[in-house]
Amino acid sequence: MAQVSLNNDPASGELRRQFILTQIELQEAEDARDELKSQLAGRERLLAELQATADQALRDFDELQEAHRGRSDQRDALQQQLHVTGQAFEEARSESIRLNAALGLTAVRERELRAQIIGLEEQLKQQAAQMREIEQQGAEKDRNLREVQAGARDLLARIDVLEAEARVMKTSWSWRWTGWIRSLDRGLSRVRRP
Amino acid sequence: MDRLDPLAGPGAFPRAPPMTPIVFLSEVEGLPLIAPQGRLAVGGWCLASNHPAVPAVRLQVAGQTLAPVSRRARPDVLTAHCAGLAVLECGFVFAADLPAGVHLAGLEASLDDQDWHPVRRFTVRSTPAVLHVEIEGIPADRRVYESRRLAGWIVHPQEKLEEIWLSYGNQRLRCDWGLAREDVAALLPGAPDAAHSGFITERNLPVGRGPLRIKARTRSGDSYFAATGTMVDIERDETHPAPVDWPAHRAGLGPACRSLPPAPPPADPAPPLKILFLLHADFTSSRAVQVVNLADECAALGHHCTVAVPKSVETSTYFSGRRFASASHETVLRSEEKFDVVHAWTTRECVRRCAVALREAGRVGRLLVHLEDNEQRILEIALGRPLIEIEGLPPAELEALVGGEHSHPQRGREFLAGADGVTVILDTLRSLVPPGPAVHTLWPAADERYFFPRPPPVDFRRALGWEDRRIVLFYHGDVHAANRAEVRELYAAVLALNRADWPCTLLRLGRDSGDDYLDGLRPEIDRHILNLGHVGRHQYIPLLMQLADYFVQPGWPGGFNDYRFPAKLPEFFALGRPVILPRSNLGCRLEHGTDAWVLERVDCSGIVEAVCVLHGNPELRLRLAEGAAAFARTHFSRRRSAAALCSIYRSVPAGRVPAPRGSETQVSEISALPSPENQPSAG
Repeated sequence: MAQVSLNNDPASGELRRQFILTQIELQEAEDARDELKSQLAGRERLLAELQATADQALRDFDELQEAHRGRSDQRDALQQQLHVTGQAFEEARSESIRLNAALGLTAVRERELRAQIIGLEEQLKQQAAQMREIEQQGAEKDRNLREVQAGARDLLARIDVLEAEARVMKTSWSWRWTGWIRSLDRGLSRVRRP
Repeated sequence: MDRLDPLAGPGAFPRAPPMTPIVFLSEVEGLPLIAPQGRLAVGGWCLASNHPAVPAVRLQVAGQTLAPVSRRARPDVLTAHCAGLAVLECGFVFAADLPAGVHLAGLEASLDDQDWHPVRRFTVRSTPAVLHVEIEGIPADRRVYESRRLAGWIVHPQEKLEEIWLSYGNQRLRCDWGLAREDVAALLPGAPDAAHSGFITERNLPVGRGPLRIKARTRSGDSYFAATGTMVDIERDETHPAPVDWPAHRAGLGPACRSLPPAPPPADPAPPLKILFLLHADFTSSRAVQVVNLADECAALGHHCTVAVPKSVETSTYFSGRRFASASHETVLRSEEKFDVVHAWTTRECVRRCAVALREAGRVGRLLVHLEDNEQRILEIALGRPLIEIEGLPPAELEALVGGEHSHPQRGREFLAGADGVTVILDTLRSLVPPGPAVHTLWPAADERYFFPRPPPVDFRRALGWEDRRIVLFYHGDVHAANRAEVRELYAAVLALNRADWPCTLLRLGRDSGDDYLDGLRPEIDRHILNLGHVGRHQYIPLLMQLADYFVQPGWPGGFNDYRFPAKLPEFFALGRPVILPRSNLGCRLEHGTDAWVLERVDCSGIVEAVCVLHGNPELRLRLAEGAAAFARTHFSRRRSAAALCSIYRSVPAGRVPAPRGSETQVSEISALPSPENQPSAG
């Protein structure tokens, strides 16, 4: 290390002062340089990341644009469908209006019919009541008929019994032996009746 | 790989479905792309599906339309895509020179050379072009030992050059430029001025040592630098016939900063506080050091800190890497921001007015006031009148005399009494706090990143021409009315030492205000003082402090020193040098001969005697240096101080009603640092 020959004179003092301050400035510059280097490295990293992000964004954008075009096609097709559907809807609406008008007339008729139906239902009820009455009468008659028929059957059976008894009696000896008496009685009866 | 349908586009409605769409398949290799020094070279391939031929490709970039410089066979692509041999030549290479910057590039393809379809886009980062330099006529080891003119050629690939300079060591030489060089034009045909790229130094290289660098300024005003790979080591020239003995390495002062382990994450689960520190002077004042340290560390703990100064907010750059916000009092008052804590740094009027205005506006959660001086004594010294006389002045006159720079005797007391809490830099200041607020002691600290034990830079001291036996003292800080007499004693001691054949230099930083306090010592003292004035950034002060052998805090016990804690003391101790200081303030807490050299009076004779004793006893000097560093490690810590301060902030109740006169002052158990009462007594 060289020994610098400086005195204690003002010029040497000024030189020392400048030397020290220069060293401080140098240190400051070196610190700033180091800091800037660090910042630069950071910026470089950031820039690289941003570039990669930008590239990715461009790729994504292009893909989205492509997808957008696909969606546009779909949209167009949907618009067409919408158009057709709209026409059908218009037609349906016209038909609906017409039907609504018709429905107005039908309502009056419906009311009339409802009144008729109510009347008919009333008649139906009356007829049903009459029917029930007739049915009751019929049932009564049936019952009477069945009683008459039962009575008739009893009488017929009695007749048969009596006829059998009569035949037995008429074929009996006594009957034939007593015939004259009955003829006499019949003659007498005709004499007594004018 | 990208697939784009070239037939796709905004078709009219109704749209016919594409028949068999041709899709371009492509790949650009090496993304993200960089064009080093503007030179782009990019390769890739492109195919068209459902098409037997190789599509034509082109590249749109930086306003240029580039055709491929070559087409290449890509059997790998054929294999991967099961394509026929007809498209074997689907590879391409583009090359171009691009201006510096980031450019959007678009690859396009065409099947008929008429309709071009975008295939894919990407970015290209082009780095700036560099100089092409050659130094000629030098030995193979590329070292220049001889003082002579150097010649060569220099070309910028894109720009025209205007000025050429060579530099090495502390030398810088202009070069004559524009000499004919047809050979260079043939070598770099695209570069402007290549045909006239020769240069030669205007004169012989002077003595100097260092790597040879070249600087070129372009006509557009940009400057470019380049290393030449050449080392200059010249010991003699026309003006130095005897060899100059250059030092093997530069005698420097650095590093300015050391790295510390990162602060542990804040353990305080409570939400962060919004803290406002109100200072009465700008950031270059010695008062700002402690505030900056605390604000910075509180911010590191997660709190939102603002330091407001009355004026010159831009001086906050004095502290680099700060983590707090800075503002002016006016800005703070104009804003509508509310603060959890407002810490008024002293009771000086400008601070008091700002704090009171904020409190009256309901923008203050807790108001704390910090005392670091006997403000009344300072007012006495500044006005040159006893306090009793000052207090008897008519209010208007008193107001005018006090201004914003000093503490008003009555209002200052009222301000303290109305505070929610008070912090004091020394326990002696507790006696100045009116009854009521809780009082906490808060010692200052030094920034350990910059202030740490540094060995003396022997080489640098020798480079300054200082003999090894020279004593270097150091004093940084402004000189004002209150310390003028004390600093004069230091100057007188330096003079006395030199007169006694103890070569001594005082390295002085800071500003002087007021009268010439060195009257009577001049002009003899001037040659022993190296006054560096105000240093631009606080972090470089320790680089200068390390030049010192001793740190001297001149002064003596009394109404001024007993109530202050000079901000420079923690920095003195942290540097690991013997500290000479009076038995006042911190001096009362130090062990003489171990922590520091404590004197009853650090005046001229005391300083001379102490320096003589210490300089004659290297063992004692070493013990004091180690003791100072140890004391700093134990007692001065920004992190600990900040953590303690945050505890104080949380412990202080908000909205305290001032206590009636006569009640006792509450002395808090919470102390930022070990209580001075617990410190060893002075020896």
